[in-house]
Amino acid sequence: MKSIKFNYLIKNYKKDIYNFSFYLVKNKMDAEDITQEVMIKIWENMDNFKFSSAKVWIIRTTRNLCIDLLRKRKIYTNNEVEIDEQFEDEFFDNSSSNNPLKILESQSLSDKIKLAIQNLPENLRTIFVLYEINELKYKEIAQTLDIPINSVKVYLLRARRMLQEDLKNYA
Amino acid sequence: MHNINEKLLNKIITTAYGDGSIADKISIYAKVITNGEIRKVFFEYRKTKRTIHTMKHFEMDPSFDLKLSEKLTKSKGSHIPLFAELYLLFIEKPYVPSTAILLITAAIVGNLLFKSPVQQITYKERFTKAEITEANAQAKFALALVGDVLVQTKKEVAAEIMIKQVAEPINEGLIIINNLLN
Repeated sequence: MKSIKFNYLIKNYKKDIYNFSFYLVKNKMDAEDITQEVMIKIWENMDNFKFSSAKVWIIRTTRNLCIDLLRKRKIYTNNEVEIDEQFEDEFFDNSSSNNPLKILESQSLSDKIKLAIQNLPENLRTIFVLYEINELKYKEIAQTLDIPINSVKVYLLRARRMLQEDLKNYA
Repeated sequence: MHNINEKLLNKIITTAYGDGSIADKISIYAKVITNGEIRKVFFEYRKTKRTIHTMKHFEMDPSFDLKLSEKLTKSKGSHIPLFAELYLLFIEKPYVPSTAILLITAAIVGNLLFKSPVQQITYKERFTKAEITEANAQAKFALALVGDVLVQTKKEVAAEIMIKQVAEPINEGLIIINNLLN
């Protein structure tokens, strides 16, 4: 029974955990490590696990692990601009020039958006990703982050504005 | 953006992202139609929102499940049963649904092939000739009754309702209109 519950949770939340952690830590390897770590924590806590609050628990655990990692790496700064490994893989090859402007020009809008999301400050990025990508409701985000629903709305609005402003820089 | 204040911009953003209240949506859509600047801002946000919701996000390494299985086995105090390991190995692969479909198909085909034939009893074997004749007569009588009721209703509708309830008020109305026009 434990393994069936566990497999159900893996199937349903694996991608959400991975995407959320990728946007937070901006690195494929770290995102995978965090996803694995969350899975192990779920397995270890399976006996006391409540399915009704699974989503909130999983996302909260993921976020805590991401923040710990960011602190360790000392990259926990607002408005930091980074090009992650995946973008490096896609755009940096031996034949192309290493001019960042040319690389940015060749990116599609979705790539620009991914970069712009990663450029958001951590608190805004968390709420934006949880709402727009992981499709959590205001209430669930408020429970996960332990903040009022109105704050979630305000942060989300700020994130959307900042993202749009950032996209203008890529235009 | 001189004529778009903070409050209006917030409404434009929430409407473009599909979160605004109905009242906000109506007022913003009206402004989008009439004001070019608002239209431009609205569609910029709308485009971003649509791209976010349609874009493919980050893909996991295909070997992730295997790595996770190994890590879980190694992790302190956790032992994954063979069933879970196998499930992890095959998770999201087409083997599980295809095996399930194969089993279901085999079960249906087997059931059809080896099903014992059920004796079909016709109504002629179950009832006597006299009973069948009587049932026929009763059915005809019942249908005749229903037919009578329908014919009577049709006559009533034509005579009472169409003339008194429909034609007469229309006539009166036409007379009134005629009088008014004259």
